Amino acid sequence: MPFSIREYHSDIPEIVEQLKQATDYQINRKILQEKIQTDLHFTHNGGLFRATPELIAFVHAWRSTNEIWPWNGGDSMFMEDTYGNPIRIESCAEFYSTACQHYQRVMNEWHQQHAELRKLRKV
Amino acid sequence: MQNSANSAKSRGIIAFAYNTDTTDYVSIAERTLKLASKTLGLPYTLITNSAQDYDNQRYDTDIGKFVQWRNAGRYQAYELSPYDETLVIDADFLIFNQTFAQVFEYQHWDWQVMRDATGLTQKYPVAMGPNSLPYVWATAFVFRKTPAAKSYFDLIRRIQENYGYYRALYNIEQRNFRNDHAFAIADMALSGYTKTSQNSLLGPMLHIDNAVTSITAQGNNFIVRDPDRAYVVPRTNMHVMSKSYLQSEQFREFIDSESA
Repeated sequence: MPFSIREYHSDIPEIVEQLKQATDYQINRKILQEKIQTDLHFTHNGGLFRATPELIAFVHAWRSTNEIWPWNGGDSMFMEDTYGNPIRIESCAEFYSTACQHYQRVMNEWHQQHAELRKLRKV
Repeated sequence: MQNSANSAKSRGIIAFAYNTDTTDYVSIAERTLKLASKTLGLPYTLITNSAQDYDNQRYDTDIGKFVQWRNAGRYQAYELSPYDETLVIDADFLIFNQTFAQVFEYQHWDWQVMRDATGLTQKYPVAMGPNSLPYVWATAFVFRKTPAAKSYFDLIRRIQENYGYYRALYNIEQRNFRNDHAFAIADMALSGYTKTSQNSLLGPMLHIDNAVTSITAQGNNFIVRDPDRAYVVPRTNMHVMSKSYLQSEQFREFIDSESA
């Protein structure tokens, strides 16, 4: 059946309406990622830290080392925080637990919100 | 014997709002402060006046032209804040994220100002002009009542009063006075003239820089609509430029439902 000009024009408002409802997944994803990177921060003994895999791995390794060589300084240590200040960590175990819990909570939240975003390509 | 140094410090949020010919900043600020107070669990104070002599201009995203703007006097935050530790926000800054509550638990600062910004529809400059200072955003900042913070605000006042000189000195592109510029200059000067100041507030800040027609909540996200399209953003802090939307009934209803 030949294409009708009238039919073509009648589709335009519908296409425009669909475009208005479409959302840019890449922009949305980037904004969510930035929020999560901020949310990963937590405070400990007056210092501000970001719960990263590197921080968690380091504290875990430090604790393991400490069990083998206890003269390292017991359960206390010093850590450089986000702003470059040395912060005393009284209990390495407590700090490790706080960092792991915070990391897990925020990453769960990220995963959940990211899944929601993927569904919301059209609103 | 009780150590007074360990006594609980008062904390709160303040906003400055001066109405102009086109915008009712006071009613906008009342809503945003209510929301911020609910999110962070802190008391708030609105600082306003029936009139302010200082007139400036800002670009209005809704109507696409310059309108009246009264943005001077932010340096008075130090004197006027009734709190020991204060978060200052612009009247159009919406706080949905509790991140700022953590800032007060962090001890190593006298003031902190927002440094990074992400625009919803456009990229923002990282410097205030060619070979100028890195941008900071006075949209949100925190300070403690300490001698160092007082010096910071005294210097901001001096910069505002002699803005022509400082603008030329720091090669700032925009001609009109902006608190962002004054805060950046003072921050750099008091940080030993280095560009790597530690006084950065957790960010970045999300600028909703388009002409908003509605913001609605859907699960953990907000759907921001303008006349052309929709954006999905997480529950994060937002700097909404569209004053037309901020004065609308939809915005009042949105804030009422979010701060209920």
